[in-house]
Amino acid sequence: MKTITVLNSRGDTVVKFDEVTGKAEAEALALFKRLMRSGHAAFKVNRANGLPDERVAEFYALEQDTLIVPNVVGG
Amino acid sequence: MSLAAEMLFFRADPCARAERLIKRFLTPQQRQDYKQLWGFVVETRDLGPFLIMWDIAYNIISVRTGERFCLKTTEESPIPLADLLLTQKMILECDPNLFVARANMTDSWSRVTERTRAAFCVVRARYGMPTHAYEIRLHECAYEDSQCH
Repeated sequence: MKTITVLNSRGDTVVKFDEVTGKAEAEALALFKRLMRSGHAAFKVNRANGLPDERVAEFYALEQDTLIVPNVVGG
Repeated sequence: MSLAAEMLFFRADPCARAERLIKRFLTPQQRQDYKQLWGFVVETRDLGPFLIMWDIAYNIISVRTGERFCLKTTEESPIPLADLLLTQKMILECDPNLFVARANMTDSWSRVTERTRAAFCVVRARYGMPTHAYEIRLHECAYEDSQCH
């Protein structure tokens, strides 16, 4: 299972999906595309072998854990 | 608090959820600074270290230059303050170009809180940088209790 954590007004929402079985994958893909279109940014986090966190733009490049943050602007 | 009650509390309280989440992403040193200084230091590849303070505006400070930056979420995407700090940390660490492109900057320190000045001095001293321009001794700052800490 892969996990996407989306920051939002409720704190965060966690979405789990399975690429192997396809469970909830279509919903996760739709959510990912919608958030990317609206300017959110996604990051690979808690990566294997101590790799540093990294920004990611492609759904199929997601690893085990992804954090999605809202669009940002200068204050 | 029982486990069930604790789960209900975190589900119902966005601020508590955000505080719990950010602590998962902080290193032990950052967690300690977050608790003691109300801010934590983020290292960037090219821009040097930044202090991110628990504040809503101009809360990101270049440790090298003292310039203060403001980066917020859009009005369509309000999030708890701890989530905003986590957002700022992720962008600084992973996409500094986005930070440079979006953040507003000021070099004014005219309305900076004592808490922020004190934290900045502690961090500057940690990096062996002079603090006299920002100095207010740490013990003069009254740290307030907060539900979010």
